Amino acid sequence: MTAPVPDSQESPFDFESAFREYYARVARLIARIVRDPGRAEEIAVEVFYRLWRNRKAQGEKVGGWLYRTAVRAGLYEVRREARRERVAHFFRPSARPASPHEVHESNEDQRRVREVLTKMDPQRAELVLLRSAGLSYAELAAALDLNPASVGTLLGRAQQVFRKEYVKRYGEP
Amino acid sequence: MENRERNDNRWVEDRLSRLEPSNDWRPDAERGLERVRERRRVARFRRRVGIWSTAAGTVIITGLLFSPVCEAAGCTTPARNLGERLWLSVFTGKSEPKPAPAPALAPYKVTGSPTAPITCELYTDYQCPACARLYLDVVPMLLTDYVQTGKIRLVHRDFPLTIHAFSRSAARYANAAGKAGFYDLAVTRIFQTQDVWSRDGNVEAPLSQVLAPDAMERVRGFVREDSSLDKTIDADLEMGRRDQLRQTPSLVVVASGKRQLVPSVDNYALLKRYLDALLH
Repeated sequence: MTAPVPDSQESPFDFESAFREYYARVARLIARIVRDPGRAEEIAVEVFYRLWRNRKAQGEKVGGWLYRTAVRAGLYEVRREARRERVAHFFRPSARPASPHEVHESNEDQRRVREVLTKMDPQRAELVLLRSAGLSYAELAAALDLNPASVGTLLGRAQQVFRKEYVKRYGEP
Repeated sequence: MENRERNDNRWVEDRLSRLEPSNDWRPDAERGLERVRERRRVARFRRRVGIWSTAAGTVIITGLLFSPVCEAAGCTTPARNLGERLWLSVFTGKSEPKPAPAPALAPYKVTGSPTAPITCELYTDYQCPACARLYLDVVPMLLTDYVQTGKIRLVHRDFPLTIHAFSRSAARYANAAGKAGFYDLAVTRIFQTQDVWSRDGNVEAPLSQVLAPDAMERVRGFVREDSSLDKTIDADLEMGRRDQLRQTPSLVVVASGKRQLVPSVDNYALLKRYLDALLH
C-alpha cells in the first residue's frame, strides 16, 4: 500500500472565479440573517475580502469556509445591531418613526426567528441556518469542520434547541 | 422519537424559510467584485501609509530623544536632550542633578563696570552664522549704548556645539588670545573669517594676520599647553546647560539676582526696549 504523494506545487487560487461562483449564495445566506439586503451585500464583500487576505482558506474547501464565515459575520451583525438598538433606546426612550423600508421588513416572524438565532449557541445557530440555506450534510460537515457521521445528530439537537427557545419566548404558534 | 425529530425538522424549516430573501433581489456580483478590489486598494494604501508613518515617527522620536539639530534661525543646543532627561528621571529617580555653584569666570570675558545693574551673558558658537552676525552687528551697538555708559556688564560665553567640528578649537584660540590680552580682537577676527577657517579648521591663519608674531606665538603656546582653556569652555557649557539654552546665539540677562533667558537677540530694537524697561 502506498501513500498518495502530495503535489509539490499548489495550483494558484483563482479568486475571481471563486467570487463569481459563490457571491450570490453567500450574499443571500447573509440576507437571511440580517434584515437589509444592501447591508448583506456589504458584509458579503467583507467576507470575500477576508478570503483574499487568508491564504489558508484559499483551496478546495473554499465553499465551506465562505459559508461558515458568512453565517458568523451575519450573526455578529445582528447581535451588534441589537446592542446598538438597546443603547439607542436607553438614550432616546421615545421611539423614532420607522422608515418605509423598516415597516416593510418588520415582519414579526422574521424578527422572532433572528432573535432566537442570536440567543443560541453559535455553532447550533450556524447549523440550522446553513441547513435552511440548502446545504447537504456533507457540505455542512465541510463548512463547520464536523465529522460527517455526526452531522445529523448535531443538527437534530440544534433544531430541538431552536424550537425550545422559540416556544419559551413566544409560545407555540 | 424519529417522528418527533422529523416534526422538529419541519417546524424549524418552516420558521427559517420565512427568512428567505425576496426572489426579486439578485446580488450584483460585478459590483461586489469591484468593491472587493476597491477594498484591496484601500488596504494596500493604508498599509503603505502605516509603514511610512511608523518609519517617520521612529525617525522623529529618535531625533527628538537623541540628536541635536540645526535650525534655520540658529543652532540648537547639545544641552541635556530629552533622551538624557528621560533616562535620568526613569533610571536614576531624579529629573535633574542639583545645581553646583557657578563656575569661575575668566576675567577677559567680561566687559563693563562691575557695578552695572544688569549683566548680559551672551552665548555663542564660533561656527554658527547667526552668532557671527550678532557679534559683528548687534554687540557693537550694545557696547556703545549700554556697556560704555555703565548700564550693563557684558559677559561672552562659549557654547561650542558638537555638530560643529571646529567650534571648540576656535573657542580654544579665542581663550588663548584672551590669556594673552587680545580677547576682543581675536573673537571679532574669528567671527569675521568664519567662512574661511570653517572649511579646514585652520583658525590660526586668520588670527596671525591681526596679531603680532610674538603675541601669536604666545597664543600658540597657550593652545598647545594650557589645559585651563578647556576648563573655561566647559564652565561656560555647564552654565549654558543650567540656563537651559535651546539655541545659539542666546542671551541671558541677569537683573536683581534673577537670570532670564532671552530667546531672540538678533533684533537690536527689541532688545533695546527690553533692556530699557529693565533699567527703568
